[in-house]
Amino acid sequence: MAKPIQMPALSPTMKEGKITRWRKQVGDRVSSGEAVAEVETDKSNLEIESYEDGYLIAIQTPEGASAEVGAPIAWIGEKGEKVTTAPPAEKPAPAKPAAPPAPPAPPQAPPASGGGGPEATAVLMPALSPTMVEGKITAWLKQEGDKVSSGEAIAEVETDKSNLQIEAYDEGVLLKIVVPAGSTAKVGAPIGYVGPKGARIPAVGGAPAPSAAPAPAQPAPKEAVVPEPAAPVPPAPQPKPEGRIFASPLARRIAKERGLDLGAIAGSGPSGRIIRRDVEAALKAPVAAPAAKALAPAFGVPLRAGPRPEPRRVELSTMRRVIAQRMAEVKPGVPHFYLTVEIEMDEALKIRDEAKQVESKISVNDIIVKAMAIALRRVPQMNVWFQGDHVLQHDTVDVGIAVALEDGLITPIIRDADQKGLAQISAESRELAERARSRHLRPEEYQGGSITISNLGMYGIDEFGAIINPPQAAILAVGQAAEKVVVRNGQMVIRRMMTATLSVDHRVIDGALGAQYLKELKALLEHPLRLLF
Amino acid sequence: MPELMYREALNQALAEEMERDHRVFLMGEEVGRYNGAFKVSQGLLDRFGSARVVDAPISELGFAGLGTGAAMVGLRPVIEMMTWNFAILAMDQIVNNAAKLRHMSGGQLRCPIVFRGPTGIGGRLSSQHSQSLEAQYAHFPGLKVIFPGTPKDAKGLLKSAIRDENPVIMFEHEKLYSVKGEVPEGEYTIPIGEADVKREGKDVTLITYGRQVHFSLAAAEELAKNGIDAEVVDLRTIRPLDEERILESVKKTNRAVIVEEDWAFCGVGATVVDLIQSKAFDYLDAPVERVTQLPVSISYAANLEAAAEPSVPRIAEAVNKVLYRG
Repeated sequence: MAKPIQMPALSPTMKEGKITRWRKQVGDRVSSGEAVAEVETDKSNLEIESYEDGYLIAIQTPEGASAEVGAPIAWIGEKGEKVTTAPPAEKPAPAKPAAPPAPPAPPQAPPASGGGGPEATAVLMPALSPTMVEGKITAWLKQEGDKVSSGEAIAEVETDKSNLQIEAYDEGVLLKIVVPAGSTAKVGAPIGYVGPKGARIPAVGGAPAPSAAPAPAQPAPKEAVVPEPAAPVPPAPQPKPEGRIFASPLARRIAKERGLDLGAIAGSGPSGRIIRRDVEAALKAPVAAPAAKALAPAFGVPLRAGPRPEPRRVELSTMRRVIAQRMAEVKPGVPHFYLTVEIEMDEALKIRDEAKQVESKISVNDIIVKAMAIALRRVPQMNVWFQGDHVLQHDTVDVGIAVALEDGLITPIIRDADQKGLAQISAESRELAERARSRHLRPEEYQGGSITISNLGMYGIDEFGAIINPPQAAILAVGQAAEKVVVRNGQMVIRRMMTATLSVDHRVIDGALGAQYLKELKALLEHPLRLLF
Repeated sequence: MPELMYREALNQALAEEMERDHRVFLMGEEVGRYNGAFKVSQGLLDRFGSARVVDAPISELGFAGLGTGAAMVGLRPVIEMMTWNFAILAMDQIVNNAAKLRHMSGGQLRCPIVFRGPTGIGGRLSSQHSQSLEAQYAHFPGLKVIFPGTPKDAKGLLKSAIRDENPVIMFEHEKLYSVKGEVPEGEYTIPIGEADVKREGKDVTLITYGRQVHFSLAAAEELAKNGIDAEVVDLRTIRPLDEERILESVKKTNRAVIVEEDWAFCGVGATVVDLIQSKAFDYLDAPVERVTQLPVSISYAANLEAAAEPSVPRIAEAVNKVLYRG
C-alpha cells in the first residue's frame, strides 16, 4: 500500500513549503531517512526525508510548486505499484495525515476512451544519478515481442557516471522499442512500451497519449522523446553480435567487391546490422594487411597512402558531456585558491614496504587517504559543503578517490575512511576503482563525500592543481614521491619528497584554515605513527 | 497545358475514343441519362446516342457478361461499374469468361473490353463501399490492371485500355475525380505497363499508385525539410508491373517503402517486395517497408476511417525506419 510523504513543518512559523528540487525521481529506491527532496521554507532551504523504505512511485508536488504543511507531496510504495488517483496538489492541507491513497490500479485498466484494448505502459528513462539529464541505451536485453517480468532488466544504459540496467516495472511483453540501442533519451522520456500483447501504444513521436487513469506517477515528458528525423546523427556503432554477422545485402556486396572483412566492421543498424554507411566508413579508414604492417617499418615504407586524413568528428559520450559542462561551471563558479606543501614520504613508504612483508598490499595512495581522513577529523571546519546561503557541516569523513577512465573520470568514495584500517581502505579502493572502470558503480558509491584525492604520481607528475569536485570544498592533488636533496640539521640528505596541492573553495574556507589542514596532513604523513593515535 | 479534373480527363478519353472508333460503346448503371454517378460520362449520351451510351439495370453480372460477349464478337465495350465494390457480383463474368476466353479458345476469341469504375476509401462510405480490390483482379492471369493517379495518366491510360486487345481493369479512386491536373492538348496515350517517376530523389524510393501518389508526394516534401530526398515512383499499371523502373530506382536509392491503400496481406505491395528482394537483393541496405490500410474493415466513423488509412506521418515514419533514422 502506497504511503504519502507529507510536507513537514520545518519551522514553527512554516505554513507551506516550496519544492525546489526532487532528489529522487519516480522509480527510485528510497530508504527511510534518505533525503528525497529539497524544500524552501520561509526560513531556509532544507531537505525532506522519507520515513519509509520503498520506491518513489509518484510525485504529487512538482519542482517549483508549493504544498501546505501536512499535504502529501509524493507517494512511497512497492516497486511498480501505481497510485491511480491522488488528491489535487492544491488541496487544502488536512490537519492530520493526508487522505489515504487509492488502491493500486488493476493490472490492465481499460482505457477511459479511445478503444482498441488496454494501453501499453511506457518504460521511462530513469534518473540514475543526480546529474543525469539523459541516458544512452547501449543495448536492449529484450527484443520487441519478448516477455518481461517486473524487475527484470530490459536494457543497459550509459549515464554520465556509469553503465546501469533499466528494469521493467510491469509484467507483459516488450511491445515496442522507441529508443534504439545507440540512441539517447532524456530522463523521464519513454524508451519503450510494455504491456499485454496487443496493447495500444501511444503515437510515437508526438505527445504520449494520456494514460487510462490520470496517474501522477509519470511526469509528463515535456521534452521531445524520440530523436526527431531532423537530427540525423547516426547512432554509434554497437558492439558486434556474437556468431553470425548481420549485414544488409548492400553492405555485404560492397564489402565483397572491395575486399573488406565484415567481421572487422562494427554495425550501426538494428541489432548491430552492418549497413552501407558502416562499410563506407570502414573503406575510408584504410588498413594495411598484417604482413604489410610488420614489414613496413623495416623498409621505411610509410603505410598511409593518399591524402592526409581529415580530422574525424567523434560524438561526445554522456560522461564526457557532463564533465565538460560541470568543469566549465565549477571552475568559474567556485573561487579556487591553492596551497602547496612538500611532504617527506620516507616513513610512509617504509610502512608500505613493511606491509608487503606481512602480505598486505597497501599503496602510498591508501596511506594518504587515511591521513587525509584523520586530518579532516582533526580539522573539522574543512569538512563542509557550501550550499549558497548556508554551510553543511559533516560529521562523517568520506574520502573520494579520482579514478581515470577511458573517456573521463569518476570519484568513488571511501566512507568513514578515518575509522577504517589501511588494509580495508586498500581493498575498498581497489574494488571501487575496478568497478568504476567497468562502469558498474552505483550512484551512492560516488555521490557526496568530504574531500577528494587526485593522484598523478604514477605518471611522474611532480605537482599540479586540481579542480574541486562540488559539493565538496577541497581536493588534494598529489604528485610523485621522488628522491630529492634536502637540508636536515645543516646536512644535505636525500629524501623522498612529494608535493601536495590543496585546492580550496574560498567561499567557505580561508587560507589559514586550509594551511592548518595541510600542516596536519604533512605531520601525519611524515610521522605515520600518528595515524595510530 | 490546360488543367482538367480527373473526371473531365476520363470524359475526354471516352469521347475521343468513341469518336475515333465506332465499335467503342459505354454501358453501366446511370451512365446515360444521369450522366454518370460521378459525371464521368457527362454529355456522352447526347453526343453519341443511346446505342453507344447504354443505361444498364442494376445487374452487374448481367451487363458484365453482355459486355464480354460484345467484345468476343468484335465490339470494344467500356463497362462502368458504379463502384468496384458492386463488381464483386460480376466477378464470375470478368474472371471466368473475360480473362480466360482467349486462352481457352486457343486464340480464336479475343476480348478487348475495359471494366472501369471508382474504388477506395471515398469518405464515410463504410465497410462495403470503401474497399481496395485491385490486388484481387491483379491476381488473375489474363487481366491487365491499371490505377492512374493523375488526370493526365487517367486519360492516356484509358485510351490505351480501350485500344488494348485484352480485358483491362481500370480503378479510379473516388477522391480523385475532382482532383485537377495538367492534361496535354491533343492526341496522346500512355502505355499500359509503364511506371512514372513522379519525383526524383536519391535517398529512398516510395513506390505507390492511385490516390497514394499524392500522399507520397506530400510525404516527400515533408521529408525534404529534414534533408531526405525521396523518389516517388507511380506504378500507374499494377499488372503488368514495370519491373525495370522499380528496380532501377531501388538500385539507386537502396531503400524502398511501398505505399498502397489496399490491405497489406497479399496486397499489391507484397508482390513489389517480392520483386525487389528477388531482383535487387544485393542493393538493399534495409528491409523494405510497407504503408498500407490497417487490416480492418473501414468504419463509417470519420476518425476511425482516418486512423485506418495510410497517412503522411505513417509514410514518413516508414522512411525514417529504412533510413535508420529516429
